[in-house]
Amino acid sequence: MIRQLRLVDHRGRDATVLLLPVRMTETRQNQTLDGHPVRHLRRIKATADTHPDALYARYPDPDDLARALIDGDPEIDRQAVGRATGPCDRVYIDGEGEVCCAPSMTEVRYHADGTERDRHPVGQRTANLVPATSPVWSGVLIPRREIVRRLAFSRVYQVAHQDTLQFDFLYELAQYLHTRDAMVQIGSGRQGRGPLYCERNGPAYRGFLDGRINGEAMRVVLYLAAGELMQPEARP
Amino acid sequence: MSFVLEVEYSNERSAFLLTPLSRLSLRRHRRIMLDAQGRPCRTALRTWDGVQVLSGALADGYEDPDGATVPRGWVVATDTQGRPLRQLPATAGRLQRLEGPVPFDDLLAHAVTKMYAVTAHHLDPALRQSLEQGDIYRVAFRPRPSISNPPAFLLANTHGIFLLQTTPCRLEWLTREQQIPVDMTADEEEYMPEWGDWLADYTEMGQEVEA
Repeated sequence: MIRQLRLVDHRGRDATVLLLPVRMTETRQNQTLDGHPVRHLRRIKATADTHPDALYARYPDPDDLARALIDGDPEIDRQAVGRATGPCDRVYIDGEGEVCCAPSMTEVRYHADGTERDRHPVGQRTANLVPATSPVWSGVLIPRREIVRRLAFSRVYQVAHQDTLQFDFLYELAQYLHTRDAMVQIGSGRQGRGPLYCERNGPAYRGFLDGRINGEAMRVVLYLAAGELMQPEARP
Repeated sequence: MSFVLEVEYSNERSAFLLTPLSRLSLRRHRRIMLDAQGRPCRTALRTWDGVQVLSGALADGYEDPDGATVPRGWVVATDTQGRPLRQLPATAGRLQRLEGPVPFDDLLAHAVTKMYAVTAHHLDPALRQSLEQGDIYRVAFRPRPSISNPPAFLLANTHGIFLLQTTPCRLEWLTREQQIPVDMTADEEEYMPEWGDWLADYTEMGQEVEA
């Protein structure tokens, strides 16, 4: 799957371009000391029914729990323990220990001292890299030298063209940013500075676009920042 | 959990205490899932035959092609050619040499994987002045022994000094006629950060999540 991004330039034109992953990953293998290949696997130690929390719920009295552990080994599921998991799905477990198919997402906010301030439900957030309407050019240009020391860019994508028209669009945008030695903020909302969501219900990012040209070649890079570089206590 | 980093710059030593910065510590909010009765949900894995496994109830292991378990101590990591990879020691307690100042473009060619707030126990005045002027330095930082050596960058802004652990990115110049390289479209590992972010959210909730 290749991500796409609907992008607007300084002249108000927009295009839906490609976002290419650029993280370099190391390819490793595992083998024994004498050179035989091995494979990694995950084995089950305990199931939800034999997990300590489930046992505490089933035997609230510690004496009953101790007696049950000695008599019947309820902490061991003989059918499952030691077995390789194989492919798994991720699920939510409710307070009854059952699968919760429709949990509600809630945001909890905290005071500086770590105590809870308030909580409120969060609606479904859709990914907004390709909005239905044209995004807005924010016009917020920040010098590269300054922004690298303000934000931590945790996701990086190279913006690529699908055809020559898009190349011209990106080249002019890269040229605009290159001559100003700056990055431009991109985002959602009326001012083009709102958060970007790459996945449904995913984390919010602040997006910045960098552009360089080198003769006939161009390089446009999308940087996504999850956090600002500041001490936790410095935040108001 | 904090880490210690000792660095050398112009034959002067500096010592730092590194405190990890997370989304929770920076933004002071987190998301949780509630069931119909308003109780917090836990994350779990469900196997193909319906067995539910809570976090912390899995064991990592290795087995050979015959299905026999191989002790972890007998396993070595190799590159794709089968050459064993050298285990690099943790940097704690070892003096590290600062490289730089490096151009800020060097940092822009990396994606940040972890952030640390730096408290200086002892900071060389020349290094302090250089950081305050906006210089960026590269340094090795491995909290644990590791076969990988991702670069870390030391920098300062008006809020303090920070260390960014990073992973390198492959940025290319594109030309008009250039087709998108196939290997750039097939990097499945890139989608790991999605899970990484997802996991980070729930790790912050105090839940241990198995990767």
